[in-house]
Order: sequence, then structure tokens, then C-alpha cells
Amino acid sequence: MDDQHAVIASLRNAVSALPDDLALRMHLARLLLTAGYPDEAVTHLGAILQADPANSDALTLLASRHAGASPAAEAGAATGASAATAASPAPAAGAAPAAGQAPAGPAQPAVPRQPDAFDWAEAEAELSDVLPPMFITPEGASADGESGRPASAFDAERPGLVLADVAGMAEVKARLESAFLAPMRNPELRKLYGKSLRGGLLLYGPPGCGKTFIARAVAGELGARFMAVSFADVVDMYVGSSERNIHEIFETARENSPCVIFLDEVDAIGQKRSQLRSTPMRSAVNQLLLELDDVTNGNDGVFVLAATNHPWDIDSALRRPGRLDRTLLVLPPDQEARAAVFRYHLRDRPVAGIQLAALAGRTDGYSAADIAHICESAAELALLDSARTGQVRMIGQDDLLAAVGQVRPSLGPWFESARNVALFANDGGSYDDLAAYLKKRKML
Amino acid sequence: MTSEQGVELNRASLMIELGRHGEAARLLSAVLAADPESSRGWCLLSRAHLGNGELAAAVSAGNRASALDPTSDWPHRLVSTALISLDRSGDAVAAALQARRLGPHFWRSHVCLAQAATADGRFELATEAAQAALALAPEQADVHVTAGKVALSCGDVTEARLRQEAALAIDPSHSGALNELGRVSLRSRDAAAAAQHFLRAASISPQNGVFGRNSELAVRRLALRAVGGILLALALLAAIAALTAAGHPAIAAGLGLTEAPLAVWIAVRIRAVPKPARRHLPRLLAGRWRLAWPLTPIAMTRAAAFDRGQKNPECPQDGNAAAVGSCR
Repeated sequence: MDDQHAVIASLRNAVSALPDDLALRMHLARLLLTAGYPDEAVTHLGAILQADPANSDALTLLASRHAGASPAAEAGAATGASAATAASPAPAAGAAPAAGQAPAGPAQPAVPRQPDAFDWAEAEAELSDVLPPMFITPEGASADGESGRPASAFDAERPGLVLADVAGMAEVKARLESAFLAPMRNPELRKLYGKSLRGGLLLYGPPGCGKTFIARAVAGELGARFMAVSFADVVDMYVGSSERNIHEIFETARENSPCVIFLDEVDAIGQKRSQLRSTPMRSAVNQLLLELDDVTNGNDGVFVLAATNHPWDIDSALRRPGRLDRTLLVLPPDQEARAAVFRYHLRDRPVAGIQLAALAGRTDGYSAADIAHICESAAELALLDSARTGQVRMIGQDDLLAAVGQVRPSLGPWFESARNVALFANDGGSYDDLAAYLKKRKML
Repeated sequence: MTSEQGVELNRASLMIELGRHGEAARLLSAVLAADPESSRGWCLLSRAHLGNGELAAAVSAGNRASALDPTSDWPHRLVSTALISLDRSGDAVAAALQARRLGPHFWRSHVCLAQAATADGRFELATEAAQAALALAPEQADVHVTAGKVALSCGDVTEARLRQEAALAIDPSHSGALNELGRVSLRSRDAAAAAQHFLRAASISPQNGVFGRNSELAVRRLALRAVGGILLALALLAAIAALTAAGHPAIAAGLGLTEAPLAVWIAVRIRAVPKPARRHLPRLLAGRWRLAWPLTPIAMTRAAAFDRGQKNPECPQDGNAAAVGSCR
């Protein structure tokens, strides 16, 4: 038996090293089934079928596994479920998650369904003290983030994103509400107080701190359609006829109002014309100015949001009244937001005993992108340790703290530029809020 | 090269112009992996590496471009610029001479040579190249900026000032010219004018840390002159009080007569600080004060001497953009 486990451990390492070797993975799956690890075997069979949907051996084995599944085997699988998940190769960021999960996509042969005679409640009670909780709150109660409202904070892909989905950042949300959203939701009050909605809103701040995410949430709050114009789109436009394309975007927005046009990396689209050498790019800036003036002058229902890391590079004409004249500084995530970012990036990983508050406290000044990097580094540490010892384990608090020690905040260069701006280029008071933040952090 | 690859090179060129050097480098690496025979592609990659501060990679890419198109001056200008920053000024001059040989009618080649020769201490060659660039392109502000730098390196402060003022006449928001004018003013011992020019350069291009540091240097020099006088006045007051208490009123009165002109001198010094610079005084003086508190008079004096003797205003390499050019 020990020999068999040793062989399985070796094969696991071999499969990790050669994930594309289907024959090796098939052999491992057979051994796992024999040794009583059906769930892990199914994971590997799924990976084989993903690569080769017509693999008859895998299909046969899978069918026989379902046909021969017993209550005892299911109970054993529950104990090994987390280990099986952890033992599977950790998916790289952005990779399809299917490698570590049950097979999906390829058509499965029809298998006869067994009547469900297994007592899941009893099994859960038996295992309640075996698996530690994923996340620990200060009150001691575990929180797996599976409450009615999902806890993730920066999932920009989720449809119907609203400001409530943005964790923390109360000041930013309050400012958005007062300057933009409340007047829009209350047109009678707006008319009474003479509050103008002309012009757009420019979100600026260090990179990786949620500007794009917040812009999408604002669009969700308005219940408007959302058209995102990114830097990649801009560069495409410059290579072709930039002015025509910019006009087309705004025309489309008018036809589909209410509509939010979101100009991401607007410093690329609207850079200072004095800094531009090429005429097509200058023409694009001119066209953008014209379109913004059109929005101001009579296109109800078209709202312009913009985001940039370098507001000081934007042509001053774009910042004049009636255009992108309102600004909102989006600073690095606060404590609550950082905890939510940690939770989001750890939600699909095998974690145990994570103290989010402590991690959030140790990462003041880190961007959301830095926190994602920390989670990735912690996963690497756990994976390497598992490979070295041959013992699969969860990602723990120590891994994350070690990763925090390794990953430095990336916002230093941005704040250096921001300091110079606040000191030497703030005559009009455009960056007073930035200057106030820098003074508070003793950077000024 | 296919038309799609040509489009991608244009896209990379625009990215570089927008300062997206990292993204441009990634795009160009992909394009060149598909077609490594494009001299223009390698030149653009070299330019992107220069923008990223990856100097060795810039030299390597430039050399690749030169091997593919031996008749082009552009790769040699790129390589020369990178070599200056790598402190290989001799090699930089050699590359710049090659660029001039291949592009004798192109002003950028002469600007490149002027910069490399200045870095190598060959001021005659630098002056000759700067004059040639001026003859070819008197309407280019960058040419005047480079000529002014060369003149300042040769010690010709008058010519340096004229060149920078000419550059500003062409482009009033040329932050490089303003910075150079600040350096010229400091050389002429006019710290007030220097502070104004540096501050203006910093307000136009705040992301360039060099202008900010130069501004603080100049403002601090102005501040320390006034502070020196204030400390002297305080010391005199203390001496007057002590002498009076010790029973020497005549001597105390004599010292008291010096206070009035000293007060006028202090007021003049403070008024000499340009208005845009005055709001930086408390911050800069507080910084010095915290460092020097235990030994205030001695430390402040030493700090002033350090500022005068050690720290010179920096000159950003933004003039290199004139040598390497935009992306063609």
C-alpha cells in the first residue's frame, strides 16, 4: 500500500511537470481510482477529455466510475475533496479554471443516475471539524463569502454592477453620489437648485486602484448602456481615420441613450497637443473636443466618464467647463476594500484560516493589482512547498504574510510624479485633493 | 513586410509618441519575431527601450537595425544616445559621427553629435555640430536648446542665454529650454531668476522630477541667504541684550546701529524671492531646520556651503529626444 502511495505521489509530480502527457495522466487516474481517490481521478479524467474529447479510455473509465460509485466511496471523496482540489495544478491567472474542476464542455456519455441514498447532512456534520474555515472574521465566526450578496469587490465582468458592489472607498462613493448620481436621479430637485449636469467626470489616480471598475459601477447605477473606449481602440483609430471613428462612437451613444461613454486612459486619447508631433493625433483631440461640446449642448442622456493615471498629460482644453471639468481622485483601496480584494482573489483557491483584516492592515498603500500579485505569490509558495514535501496543503496565513514581505507596493513612481504635480503644477487648485492626501501621508 | 505588419509598426510608433514605451516594446517584439528583417522595426524597438531606460537593449536593437540598413543614420543616433547614458561617451561620439556621415543634411544627426561631443568633453566638435544644426534648422526649438547647452559647457553664458531665449521664442512652453535658462541664471549667480525658470519648467512638465529638484535647489539657495541674515540679526540682538546687561550700553548701542541696515537687507532678500517660489519656502526651510536643529547656525552655514559647492542643477536628457527624433 505504501508502495502504491509512493507511486501515486511520484506520478502526481510527473503529471505536474508534464501536464500535456495524456497517457501519464490516464495511468495516474487509474491508480487513483484503485487507491480510493475517485474525485481526484475524475479531475484528471476531465483534464484528459478537455484535451482529447474523444479519448475512449477516459470516457470508459469515467463511465465505470459513475456506474460503480458507492456511498463509501462518496464519503471518502468528501474528505479528500479539498486535498484533491489542491493537488490539481493550480490554474495560472487568467487560465481557464476547468483544469482543476469537474469536466465541462466536452459531451459526456450518458450514464445511469443512481438514486441518491447518501446522507449529506450527516457527512457534513462528521466533517465540520476536519476542514478549517477559509476566512476568519475578527468575531471568530467563519465567513466563506457565500452570503446572499457575493463579496467580491472588483469583478468588472459581472453584469449589473453597481456601487454597492464596490467594497470600501466610502469617500469616493459619496463624492460620486453628490456630484453626479443624485442630481441625475432627481431631475426636479436638479432644476430647483439649478444644478448643471453638463460636462463629464474624470476619474484619476494611481494605476490598479479601481477607476475602471468604479466607472462601470456608475454606469450600472444610472441604468444606462455602457460604451468603453480603451487605449487599444484609440490606437486602432489613429491608424485609420481617427476623427470619423470618434464621431461614430458619440453618434452611436446618442442613438442608444441613455448611454455612458467611458474613455479609458483618456490621457492617450486626449494628450496635450503641444506634446504631440503627429497631425492625426492632434486631429483626434480636436474631434474629441467637438464631440464633448456637442454632448454639452443638447444631447441629454449621453454621459461621459473618463479615467486616467496621468491627468497632467491631458490637453487643458479637455478640462475646461462643459467638458471633463469634474474630477474625482481614486486613491489606493482602503482597509475594507483591500480585505474584499484579498477575498476575491482567494475565493477559488484552497485556503484555510485566512485573517483578511490582518492582511488588509499590512497592505496599506498597495493597489488592487499589488494584492492580486500577493495572492499569486502566496499560491506559488504553497505549491512549491507541496511539490517539495510531496504533501499537498492549503494556502495559509503564513504564505500570504510571506508574500506581503516579498511584494513591494508599485505605486511609488506614480506618487513621485503626483508630488511634483501637487508642488509645482497646482496653481489653479485642480489637484488640491491630491495635495491634501499627500500632506496627510507626509509625502509633501 | 506585410501591410498588417506595417500597420503594427505605425501603431507602435504612436504608442512611443504617447510615452507608452513598455507596450510599444511588447508589440514590436511580437512583430519582429514574425519579421526580424525590418530595420524600422528594430529602430522603433531601440527607441522604446530608450524610453524605458533599457539602455543596453537599446544599443543592441539599434545595432540590429544598422546591420539591416547600413545607409540609415537613425540607428546610429539611437545607439549614440544610449551610449551617452551608459557613460561611454567616446563610443557615443563614434556612433554620432557615423550618423552625421550617413545623414549630413539632417539636423538631428548634428544635434546628436553635439550632445555626444559635449558629453565627451570635445567642445570644439560640439560647437561645430551645433552650428551646423542651427544652419540647417533654425526654426527648431530643440536645435537652439542643444546649441545653448553646448555654449554653457564651453563657458559662454551670453550665447547660452541667447540660444535658450530663441528656443522659447519658438516654443514658449519648452520645459527643457526653461530648465537650461535656469542653469544659465545660476551660472550668472541670479538665483531668483533661476528659481523662476525652474519653477516654470516644473509646472509645465511636473512629471519630470529633474525640474522639481532644480526648483528646490534654487529656492533653497534664496531662502538660506535670507535665513542667514535673520540668524545674524538674532545673534546681534542677543549680543546687544547681553552687553546691556553687563553694563556696556555704548557698545550695545553701536551694535544696535547695524540692525537697521541688516533688517533692510533681509527685507530685500525676502522680496527677491519670486512670488511662485515663496510658498515653497516654509516647506524647504522646515526640512533644513529639522535636520539642523541641534547646531542651527553652524549647520545652516554648512548646508549653504554644501548647496553652493556640491549640488549643481541637473540637466534632464530630454534633449535626447531631439537627437533620436520621433518615430518615422
